[in-house]
Amino acid sequence: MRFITSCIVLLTAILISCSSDSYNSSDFVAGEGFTNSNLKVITFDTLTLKTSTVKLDSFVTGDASRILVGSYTDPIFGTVTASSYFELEPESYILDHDAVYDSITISLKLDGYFYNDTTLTQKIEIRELLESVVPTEDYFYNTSSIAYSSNQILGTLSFTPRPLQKDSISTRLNDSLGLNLFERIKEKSITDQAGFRDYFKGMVLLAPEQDNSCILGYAKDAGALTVQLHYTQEDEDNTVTYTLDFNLSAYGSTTPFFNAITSTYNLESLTAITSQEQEVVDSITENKTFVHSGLGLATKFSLPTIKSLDDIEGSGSLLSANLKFYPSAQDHTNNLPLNDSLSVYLVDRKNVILNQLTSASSSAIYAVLNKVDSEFNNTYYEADISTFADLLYTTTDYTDYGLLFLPPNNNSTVDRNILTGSNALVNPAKITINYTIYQND
Amino acid sequence: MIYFSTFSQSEGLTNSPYSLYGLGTINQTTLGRYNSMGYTGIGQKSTTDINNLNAANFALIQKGTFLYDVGLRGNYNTYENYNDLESKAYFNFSNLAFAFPLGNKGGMGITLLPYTDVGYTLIGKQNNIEGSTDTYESNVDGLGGLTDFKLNFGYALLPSLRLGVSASLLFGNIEQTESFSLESSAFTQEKSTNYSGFKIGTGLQWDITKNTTLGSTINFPVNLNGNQITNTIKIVDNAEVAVQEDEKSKVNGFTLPMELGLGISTVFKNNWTLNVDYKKNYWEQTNQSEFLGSYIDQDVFGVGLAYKKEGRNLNYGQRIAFRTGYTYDTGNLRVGGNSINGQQFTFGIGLPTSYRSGSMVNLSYAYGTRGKIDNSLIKENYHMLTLNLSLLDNWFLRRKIN
Repeated sequence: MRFITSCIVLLTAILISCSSDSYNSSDFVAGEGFTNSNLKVITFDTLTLKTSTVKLDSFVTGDASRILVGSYTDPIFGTVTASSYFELEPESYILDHDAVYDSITISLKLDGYFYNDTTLTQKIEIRELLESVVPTEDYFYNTSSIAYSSNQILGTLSFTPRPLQKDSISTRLNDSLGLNLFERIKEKSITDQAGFRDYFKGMVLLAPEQDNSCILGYAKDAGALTVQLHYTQEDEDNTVTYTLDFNLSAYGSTTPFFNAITSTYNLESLTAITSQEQEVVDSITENKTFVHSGLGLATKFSLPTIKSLDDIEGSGSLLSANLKFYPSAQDHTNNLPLNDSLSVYLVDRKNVILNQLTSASSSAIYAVLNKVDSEFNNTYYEADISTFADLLYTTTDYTDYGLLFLPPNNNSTVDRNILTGSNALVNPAKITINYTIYQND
Repeated sequence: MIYFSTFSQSEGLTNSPYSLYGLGTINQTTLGRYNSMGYTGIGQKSTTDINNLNAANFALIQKGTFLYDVGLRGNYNTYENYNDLESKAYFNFSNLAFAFPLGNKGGMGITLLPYTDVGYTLIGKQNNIEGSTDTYESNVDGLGGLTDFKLNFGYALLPSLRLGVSASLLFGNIEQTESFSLESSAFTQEKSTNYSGFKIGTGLQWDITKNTTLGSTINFPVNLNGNQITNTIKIVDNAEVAVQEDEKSKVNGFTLPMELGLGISTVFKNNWTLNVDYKKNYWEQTNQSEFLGSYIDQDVFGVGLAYKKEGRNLNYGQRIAFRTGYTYDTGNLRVGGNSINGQQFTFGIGLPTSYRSGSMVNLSYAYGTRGKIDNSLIKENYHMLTLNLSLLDNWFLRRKIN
């Protein structure tokens, strides 16, 4: 009996240890006909995609990463002009009583950014501001402006730009400005920034002749833009040359700086936009939509009928939503290039930007340009907007929300993209939905 | 391509790809020596071990005895279709049973046996994406099975005529998971279904001569109810989203058919026992079908032969029982023109645990095949070892001897 008992104990122990529900693993491919699937996947690109152009009322350019100056003409946006306003700040307020004024100069450094034709001579006119560079609201916008002296030019720059070389360019400024600043600092009638600003409010860099050349970017970082007072001082034996630098002013919460970007618009439907709430659907603008960073034009995509996915028989769930849209081939040239990517912003029904669209892992989502070959038919933007589309479909929190597409760093560029809308006959914008039906009702 | 999984990787509850259908592969193994005799024994009289094949036999349990049977089994299965070959090994619970007499003419017992096994993984199933010419691959796997908790009662109406009834509680859980990934998205649906139901059966044994017994069994059809819990998640844009969370639903039950069994068992030349069984399962009447095919009536033929020297022999070798059997199963599923039939050869020995007791260690080996290689079909070969401890405990007799 003892034998039997021990056998039972042993067997039970083996049984318990061996009948664990550990998951089976297999590489066996059973073949197609062996079983049906409870799940079904369908794909379609027929969901209504509404494409339109929205114009941001204004956007802050006071925090732009570069100085933008220049102009170019555009068949759609007319003459686009950028000018830059800023205040200066002396690096010191001390000049010796025996210092002798020599000259005043300004120097700028190209930062590599350009838009349109850089082969033509670029001209910049420097004028004195009549009012302080202080915003009337909290910030400076692309639409801001400050009155400047119309009769006196402080100086002009004329050069053939080599933006990729990031050349520095400089010119002499009006000596009466130079002498006045020199004497006032030397005589200690200007001893601080407030006093300096009272006398010299700032300057604007203008594109005087609004020709079809280019808009160039100039570096804004410390020491890149300087105005220099050159003076001499007698040493024991020699005459030594010194400089006093004026840099971009950086005091206070708002940097006294901004880029103003204006346009004459050739397309009436764009001129007619009066508020950000307005949407110009692509069918009004020859089945095109527009993106212009400097002017605050954005292309909007919305999915007004996404709830109709519920009409598909059975219970289903969205797997992915991919936007594909094409640039309008005839509206782009080598001089008027496309952006490699566009940023995506979530907007409410009034087109107020809520946030930049990010993936679940919080990385920003971009519409990325695919250039398969030089053929424009194979050049298109693609954006994965699955998370947004799923929220739009499954919740009511996002009803009538849409997506705005703008160039990255749109406050520091004047890039333009003309896209074909969803109504276009050739290469219409489309959304491809992958959808799975997991239960037959 | 050929895959061989190692023993340790495939340990766990796994079974035939055919366990996808119905409630899984119906377990054929039974208790004790019957595993090595082609699973036959409807007509076999036994006083020293538990014959779970016919409730009527429980009437023969001797007064003062108590019977146990504990078993486990190990399988080595090979699955093969046109493209693939895979082998798996696994251990599994086989049975737990005990039985005891009730008065002079009756006996009863409880057995716990796996009723069905589910354990399949089907990977790389190609599916069309509706609305395009593209396809995607999905994986389907299932795990679980049903257990048969059976109460047998047998009663001798006449010394040569025994009647039995059995009541089975069939219960268990089957989990099915289907998943796929498409581009950067993924989708997984997990359905966990609890089934339960009662199966009632009767049995009869009639000794037509001293050495020959006829047996018959009837199991009545039963509809098993299912309660399902579904969990579905998807991964969209690298984020996991719950689509269905613990959604409960009643699913269409599964119907088990009316099952008839007939058997004859005879002892000849003192030492030999021959069993012939025939079972018919009326699947067609259940009006059920599967994706692969429809259910058809199933015939199972079995024959079993055993040799054991009569009487008590002092030589241990002469006390060993030798057994063999064969069973042929026409299958319950027809696919195109083919039925998924199977056959098994069984061999086994019974080793008595001691001179005095009627207890046996029963070892059995079975080799079987199921299905065939065809368009979508799979052929399965398996080797199965079962080990049963069939114990006879003389409650009152033993004390005297000690």
